[in-house]
Amino acid sequence: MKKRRLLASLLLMILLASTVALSGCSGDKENSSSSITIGIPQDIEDSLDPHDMLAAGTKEIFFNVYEGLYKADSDGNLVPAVASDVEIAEDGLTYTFTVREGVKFHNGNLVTAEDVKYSVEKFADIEGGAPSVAAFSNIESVEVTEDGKVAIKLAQPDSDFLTMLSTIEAAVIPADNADPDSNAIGTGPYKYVSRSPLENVKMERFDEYWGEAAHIEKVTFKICSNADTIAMELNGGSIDMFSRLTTAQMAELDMEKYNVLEGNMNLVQALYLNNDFEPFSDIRVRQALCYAVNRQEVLDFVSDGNGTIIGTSMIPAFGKYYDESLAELYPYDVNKAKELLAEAGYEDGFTFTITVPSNYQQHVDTAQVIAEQLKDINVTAEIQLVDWNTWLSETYTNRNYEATVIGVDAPQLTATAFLDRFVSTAGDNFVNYANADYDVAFANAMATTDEAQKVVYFKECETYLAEDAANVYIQDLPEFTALNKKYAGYEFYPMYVMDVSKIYIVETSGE
Amino acid sequence: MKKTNTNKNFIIGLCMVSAVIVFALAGLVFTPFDPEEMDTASKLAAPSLKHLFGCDNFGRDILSRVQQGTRMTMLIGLSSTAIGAVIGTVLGAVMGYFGGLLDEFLMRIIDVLFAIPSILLALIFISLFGTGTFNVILALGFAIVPSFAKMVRTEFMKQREMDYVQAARLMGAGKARILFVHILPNVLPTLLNCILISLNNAVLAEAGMSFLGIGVQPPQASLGRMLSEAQGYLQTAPFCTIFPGIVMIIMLLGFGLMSEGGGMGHAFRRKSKD
Repeated sequence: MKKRRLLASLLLMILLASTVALSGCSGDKENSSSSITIGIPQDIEDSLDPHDMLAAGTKEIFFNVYEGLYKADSDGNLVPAVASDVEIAEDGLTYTFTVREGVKFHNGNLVTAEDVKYSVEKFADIEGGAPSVAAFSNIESVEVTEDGKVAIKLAQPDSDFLTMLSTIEAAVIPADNADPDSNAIGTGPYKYVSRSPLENVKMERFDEYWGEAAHIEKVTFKICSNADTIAMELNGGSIDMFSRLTTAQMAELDMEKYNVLEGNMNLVQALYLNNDFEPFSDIRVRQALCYAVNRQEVLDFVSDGNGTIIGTSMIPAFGKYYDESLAELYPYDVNKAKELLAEAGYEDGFTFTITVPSNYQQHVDTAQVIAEQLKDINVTAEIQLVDWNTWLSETYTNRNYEATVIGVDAPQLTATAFLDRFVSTAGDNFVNYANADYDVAFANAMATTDEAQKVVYFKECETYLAEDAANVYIQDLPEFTALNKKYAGYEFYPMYVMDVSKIYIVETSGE
Repeated sequence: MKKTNTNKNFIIGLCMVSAVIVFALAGLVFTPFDPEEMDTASKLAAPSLKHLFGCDNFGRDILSRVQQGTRMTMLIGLSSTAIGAVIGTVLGAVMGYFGGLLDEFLMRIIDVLFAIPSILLALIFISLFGTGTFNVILALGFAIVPSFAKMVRTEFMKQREMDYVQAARLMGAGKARILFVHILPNVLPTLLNCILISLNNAVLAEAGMSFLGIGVQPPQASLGRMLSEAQGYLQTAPFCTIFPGIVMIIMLLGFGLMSEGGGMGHAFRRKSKD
């Protein structure tokens, strides 16, 4: 009996020892072979067909798999990808692309002009029917020219057309892929390997990539849907990277192990004012609010001083269209604010309601800070929390509100996407901004094909928004990405993508 | 022996609740800081002599906010229970005493309402009429009505055949007089207990609603609102959650002990011994 017990305990000890030893081994192995595990907050969509992708979270990671004729770089510039070059006809209606030589699909075949033609026809739904991206209904025809180029004809000139072609919905995929829904074949730096629903998505480096090859060989996207355990997973080492952490999650991070990279969310966060609502219909009142809000203090409270103060409806990441000086148009000045209010006949202040969707903590927090600051100019801001759907229908669609705090983003990487909503007749002009000069400047920007001229007009639009104090612009919220110190090289983009190909392993001595 | 025990419970409960009430009411006269004043320098400051309970993520003094929040939570609990008790008692009395078709009709409605959890009823009310302190009070008040009505109705049905009621009727007393002067005092123990339990539920429901963001609106403090705002800092600044939590526990435990020890405690016991 005693012997047996001894034997059992001996066996147990061996088992334990070997487990420890083995797990140690596997740890070493992982260090030497190049792999990374990245946490993502939700599972990907069912369909892997890039032309049908809807969820931002899916497009974000398939940015590594699919490429279009053009592609955006981390500064927001368009660079040729599957195409090596484009010729745009004088009338802006015909785009002739030269297919880059030697670009291979993940199945090993070379990309031909026929593949490009097939892809364009597919995502533009040329055979009638509505394409998933409305802008593509502008494509009239696509032909392979005699010298092997691809010519796309538009119905109307569209200066944002190249930008649209750089989105994942315009990816080039092989014509002979019978099942693009489940068989993801693209030309990107990574190829799709497998997925395990609600668990992970696996990708592998594509060694025959036409451009600069990725550094890390194996990438696993692990689905971490529970926001409360993400910091724990990072600290425990089950994931190496996670994007869009909150400041509270960051506070729990083990800073010995992680680098926290700060980027921007590419949102225009503001106290959006219903310009039709009395007293916001008076420009002096709107300007007074701009002077009375201490934006640096908002940043200090809401995101520990991170984030970028902005002064108009354009994000800083959008370099060439962004006018930095507008951020300083209304420095914090309570006396000036009071004077303006007195001029407008509100020396005793007034009361209004800020409607905020309750699911966005950062906007709720911002509203609270603003409400507190406005007390200094005798303005009482009452806060009303509503759920997201109510906000969408009542505030955004029906414009039945007085003021709201929200972050407005752009669906595409174009200045148009940020500015078109402030045209007085725009359907999504939810702040009811109306300025005839703005409408003219915007129309001019749309009409011109000269890029430099366009920039001038767009900046004019931004200046109108700032000078009219259309809204109390606050900030582009910071976005934090935690990356294990073993890795480096991650770059932020001015749009919703996660580029894994630039991440590399830092050579560490010791350990 | 047992009787003293139950009384002890009642007294301990009463002490706890009184302590919380005194703490909250003191806030009317004096709070160490303005509960809504923000201060960047003391963001998430740990408890110290200056800020006894520490500061929240806006640098607001938690002690002052707990005082304000407790007052708000109690105000909501008491007012909504009052609304529920008055309407519920009148309805229950009429139904129980008169019976008949009216009773049948109202009872079916109450049965339906009873099948829906009261927090859900309150949620429906809020989504129809909007958020805000006043609406929360109304919502919770109406959500409490069915349970009161049902309880009081049963009591009145039992009492209406009693000799003293028959006697009063023979004396020619008016119906309202019989209902509220003769019968009501005899139902009081049940009613008191019901009120205490409702207070408990209302306080919890308010906290739950504010936690979900549909109750008290910021920057107003309430215990639930504070817990909800502090949840992101549970690991890094636990004092943001602990102090409002402690006050809420004392209050709930107090109401619970009172209802267990007082009023119906004896009535129930007597009945079960029969």
